[in-house]
Amino acid sequence: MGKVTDTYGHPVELASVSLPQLKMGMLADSLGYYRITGVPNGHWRIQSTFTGYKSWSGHIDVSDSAAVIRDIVLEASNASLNEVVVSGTMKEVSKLESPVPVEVYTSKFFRANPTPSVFDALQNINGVRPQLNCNVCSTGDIHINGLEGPYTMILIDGMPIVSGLSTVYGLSGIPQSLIERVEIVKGPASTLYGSEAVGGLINIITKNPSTAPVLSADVFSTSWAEVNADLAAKFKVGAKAHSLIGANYFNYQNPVDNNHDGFTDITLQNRISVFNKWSFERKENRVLSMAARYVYEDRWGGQMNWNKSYRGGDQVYGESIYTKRWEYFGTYQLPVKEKITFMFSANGHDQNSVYGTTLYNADQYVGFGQLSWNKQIKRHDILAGLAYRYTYYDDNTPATRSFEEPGKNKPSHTNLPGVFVQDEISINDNNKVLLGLRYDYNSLHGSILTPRINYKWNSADKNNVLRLSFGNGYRVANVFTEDHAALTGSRDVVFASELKPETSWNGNVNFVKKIFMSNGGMIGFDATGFYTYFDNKIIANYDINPNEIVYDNLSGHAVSKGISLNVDIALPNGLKFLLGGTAMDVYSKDGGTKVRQLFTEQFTGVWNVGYAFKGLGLTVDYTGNLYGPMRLPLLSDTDPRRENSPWWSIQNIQLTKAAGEGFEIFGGVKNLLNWTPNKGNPFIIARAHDPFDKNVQFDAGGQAMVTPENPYGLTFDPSYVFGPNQGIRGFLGIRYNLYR
Amino acid sequence: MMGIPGNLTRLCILLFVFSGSALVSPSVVNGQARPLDFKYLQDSMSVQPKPVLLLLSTDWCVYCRMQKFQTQRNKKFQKNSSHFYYAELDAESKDPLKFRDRTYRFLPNGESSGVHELAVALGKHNGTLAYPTWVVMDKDLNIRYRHSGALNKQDLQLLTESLMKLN
Repeated sequence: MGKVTDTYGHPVELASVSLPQLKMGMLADSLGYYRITGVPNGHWRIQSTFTGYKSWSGHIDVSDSAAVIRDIVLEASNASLNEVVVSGTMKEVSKLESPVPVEVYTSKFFRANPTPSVFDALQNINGVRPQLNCNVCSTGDIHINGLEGPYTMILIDGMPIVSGLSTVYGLSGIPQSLIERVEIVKGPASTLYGSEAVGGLINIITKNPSTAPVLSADVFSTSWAEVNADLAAKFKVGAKAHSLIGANYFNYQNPVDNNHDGFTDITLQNRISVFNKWSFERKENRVLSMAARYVYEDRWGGQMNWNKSYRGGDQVYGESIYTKRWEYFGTYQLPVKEKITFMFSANGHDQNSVYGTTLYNADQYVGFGQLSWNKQIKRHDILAGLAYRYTYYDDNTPATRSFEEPGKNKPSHTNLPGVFVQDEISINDNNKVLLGLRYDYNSLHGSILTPRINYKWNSADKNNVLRLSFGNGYRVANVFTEDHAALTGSRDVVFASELKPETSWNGNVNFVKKIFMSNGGMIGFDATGFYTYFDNKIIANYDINPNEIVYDNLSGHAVSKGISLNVDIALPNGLKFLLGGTAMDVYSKDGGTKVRQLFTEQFTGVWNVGYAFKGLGLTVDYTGNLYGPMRLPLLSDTDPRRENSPWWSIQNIQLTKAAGEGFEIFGGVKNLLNWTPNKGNPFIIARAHDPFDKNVQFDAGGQAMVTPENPYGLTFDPSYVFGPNQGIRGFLGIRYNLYR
Repeated sequence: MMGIPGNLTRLCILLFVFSGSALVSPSVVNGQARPLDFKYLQDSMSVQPKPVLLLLSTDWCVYCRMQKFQTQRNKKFQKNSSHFYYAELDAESKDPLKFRDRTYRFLPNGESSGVHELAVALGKHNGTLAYPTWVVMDKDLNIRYRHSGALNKQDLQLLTESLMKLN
């Protein structure tokens, strides 16, 4: 008898222990103990084997006198066979049943290129692009197939965070260890989410409390001294209440000026966010979930010698933004027989910012409530409901100035009651249709009608799926909160007329094909064609006057159209490929002239190649993006900067090693090609040495003149931005998950 | 600690030891054409008890679909499948399910997400639940083995052979 353990002293349950000469054997029990009885006297060979361990052998001498105790220590074998690595699902898949095309990305996908927030992580997804809008303050928004951030709805576990600002801030602060998967809809989603959800929908699904790690941590740092830390835990209160709690901290306080223009290359940031979610077990599986989140961020960029004492002054240029944001949202299913659900969301956003000498202070509060009733009648799955949204907005700009009493501020109050109904009809096993209609009444802009049609066909084996979606969207723009370019630099903001709401019609065709190989491999194709037609599109015109950004509704129309293809391949040997490409044409047409949209590329590619070394617990991920040329705003004909950006690419490599006991170490190199937008340009920020235009001479028409000091006749301009101004850097991190 | 494949081979040793020299019955091999819906498992078991192979999956898990495809294409799997019940359980199914005299329910986690209690009870492995998860039960519905992750062709065949020995 004896005990079988590994080299760490842990029992090896079910290890086999045998006396081969006697053909006797036994398995170790759950504590590693074994006992073989009835062994005749003599000198016997004893051996022990267990998969994943080197086989062990020794000898025992058995006599009548006493039991022989022999403890066995098994050494782990490196050549453990066929470690199955595809446990999670790194691959993107489409949810089969829904007529709305849903792409699913698990948290594992995002770990291939670790980023401080889900917002940054979305750069790895084809057709989704976090766009930087500001060279100095590096704020951005998410574009889905060419549609801007406000057209995208953010949800957590299906609970909407209703706010125009949520695409930027709604994605930061949820620790990635609490995320099970992220679902993305490109194109018109359900009427349930209102007119916002025409560009797409991003739904973050958190881990279920019963299977989430009890405790987890994820910390990494880069050679630029950026630090990102995620902490998460779950706990239970009583028998029915489960809670997930998490915090994210991102810090970057190391000003770097590698391009020697006197300005910080990337924005300094200090961000903390806290997330807490509760779910309660109720009778009849009824839903009660609520969550709260708080984000505080302090970011600044500008001249290298800037500090807070210069904030808002004209001595040293800096852009400094303090953001405080809170959210509270949830879902409650009413305790009645019918399925009636109440969803609510409340959030507040407080931004205190300076862009050079321009102050921008804004407050936004949004309250949202929605009551929906869901009923299945034969082939119909009907959803109907009432919604109400209230938005308060106030800032220090002319946007909220009172017309009646000049000089007095007049915050805007928007009430948006709505009613919606949709019917998902299963025609047969292969065809489904979703019809939806929503009517909202905007207290400032009147009636809004948003229809939706989604259709799905699938082959009998469900390996081929075709989806069509069609719908419209509606957007009341707030250029200040959505477009940081309105505030930055020396350009004055000019409204050519009172802005009308922008409307868009969008159609999508999506085809998904999966090919499964009998050896365990898989190839998936996902092709999408999209077309969006805009009326009243709000255009920020940089081209009229270099000192102005002129916002106006386009009198013609604008179009965003394109095709995208994703290919994912998983081979049984552990090699995975995810390749995506999108070709698109985004332009506006006013009269007869077609103008390409600024800052928008015609081609993007994205890839993610992963390989797991079996038995070593080592994974390699090679990720990257490729961007085609974008048209960029120049100040004048004499501006020496490139009018179009070159083809550019960001590529990253990462190694991840399982270190046992729930630990994982990861590290690698980001931006392997050391690409920055400086390549090929004499400078990217115009007149960075004179950010307040103190030495610019203007002619009678207000145009900057060419002088010996100002050879190109420019003014200070940081709006020429098309990519992150951060070169090659290394990173190293550690992850820990404790499961129970 | 021990790796996942260890478990699989462990199963084989275990099954081999407990079943002694039990051999595959030479009766007519009648492949189970389609996976059994979990709802009907207990009824089937009461008529004719057999060991159970269960695949826990979700509709968004592409590896689960790959595995389902493999079960249909793998001739050995099909051939052996008359000796056990192969059932599939959608871990995000919203219907209550009965298992061993207890009713298990869907545990909602928000408006659009959640997990079925039974999937957690049957498939939770090392504190978490991943998809796909394979669960092997004997004729008395005792869990004999769990594996979270996709199985390759050889391992899948090995699993079916082990199942036959549980008879």
